[in-house]
Amino acid sequence: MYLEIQNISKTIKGNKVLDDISASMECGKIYGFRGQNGSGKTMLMRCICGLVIPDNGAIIVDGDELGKRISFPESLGALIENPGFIEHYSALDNMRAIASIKGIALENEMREILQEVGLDPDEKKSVKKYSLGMRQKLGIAIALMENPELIILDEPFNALDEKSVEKVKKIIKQRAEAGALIIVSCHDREILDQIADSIYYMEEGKIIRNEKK
Amino acid sequence: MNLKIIWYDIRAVWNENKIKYAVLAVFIMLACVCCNHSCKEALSVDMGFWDYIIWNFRGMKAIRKNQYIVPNAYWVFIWLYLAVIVGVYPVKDLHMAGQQILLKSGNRKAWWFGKVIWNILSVLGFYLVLYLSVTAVSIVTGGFKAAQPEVTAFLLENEQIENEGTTLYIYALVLPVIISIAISVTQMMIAVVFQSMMGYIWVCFILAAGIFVYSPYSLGNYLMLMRTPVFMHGSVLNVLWAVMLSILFTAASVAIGSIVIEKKNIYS
Repeated sequence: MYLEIQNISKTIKGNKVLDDISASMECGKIYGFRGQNGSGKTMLMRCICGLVIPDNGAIIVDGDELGKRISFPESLGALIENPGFIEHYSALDNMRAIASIKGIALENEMREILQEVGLDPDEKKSVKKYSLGMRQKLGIAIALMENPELIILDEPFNALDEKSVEKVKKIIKQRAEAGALIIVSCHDREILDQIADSIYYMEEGKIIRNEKK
Repeated sequence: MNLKIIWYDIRAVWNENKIKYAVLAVFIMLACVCCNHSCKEALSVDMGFWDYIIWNFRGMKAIRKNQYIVPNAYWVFIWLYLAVIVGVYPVKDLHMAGQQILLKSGNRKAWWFGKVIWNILSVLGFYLVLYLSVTAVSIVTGGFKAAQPEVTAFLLENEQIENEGTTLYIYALVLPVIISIAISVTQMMIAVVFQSMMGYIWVCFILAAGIFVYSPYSLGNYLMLMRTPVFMHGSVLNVLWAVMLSILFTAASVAIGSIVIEKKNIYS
């Protein structure tokens, strides 16, 4: 998995939310993104997912440009902002519904991921009764199922307790070691320092600094 | 892939839509029972299946110049209700759980065509509920006899059926479904291109245009039996125009939607 972001820009209602962003990323690494609210982190992640189409530039995933031959990266797991679910379904049923599209995730794999993030796969409670933290965990689990090669996690540690944060950090590192390219945004400098191989700092839609380990 | 997306759509919205369909069924049945009660009091006869169908789809007479008319609120309600059944979900889903489905499908067009199929199935479901509700009341009241002229005259302000048989079947059972599909798919396209409210405005426009404009080019007219050859000798409405307009609106909406979805920015 190789991701190249080439000079992408995006303007929304006269506001330049992404300004000439370029970066190259490779598999087996964790790339952190840090910046103030409104700095463009989420918008950049949406562009990488293919949900938002940049006005200029290109995003190349394994040689394919998004918006040309492919609409979205082929092997992608994403958690962007507040995840949405089928509210009257349980956690496992939600995963099953989404997994049914590609049909590659096995039942025991889904159960394992739910347990890894700290959710009970046998819980029958519908998602609409979940706390913010539980919803976040489910969003992470959905992003990780099917062992995607590209994993995008936008503020995954929001609403998580300390124990859950450690669990998620461990999972992210394991996935990177297994060869996934992981992009994580986080306000907490300490967490990014612990997991990221490279941290990009964003401000007003630009990458102002890149710190590599 | 499309089948899986469609199956996901059906499951995702079933919890909400089953309640809407149940409310529709109860409403239609209650309306039919009340109507039958009035009919029985006045004429001492029970209404049958075709009497109920005619009553539900009657609409209103064509408006003539300088004529005062009160729009049929029941007729407006039924079609607005259909708009609510199909109007909320596609755009709402795109900004919620459907985003994951979109990403997993890998294909924006596949998502769109899946929604088109879901839309059509929802319209068919609407009609199925309507027909089953009428059937249920018919079983208990007048059965499945042919439309009764005295009942028709009583319920439809002395109007009489001019053409029964195949004409009635086509205008009462087939054309409303085709027209409704065209209106609903266009509503969904407008909602995706602009926003959900614009989709509802489109439906309101179609209904209003149908009420005040008596024309073979006005879709809403084909949802009103009283304006069709079933009731009107020399009606300007005809099957060919209905089918052509439906195909035109549906095909154009599907095409426009498939183009727009490729470039649409999806924010939460």
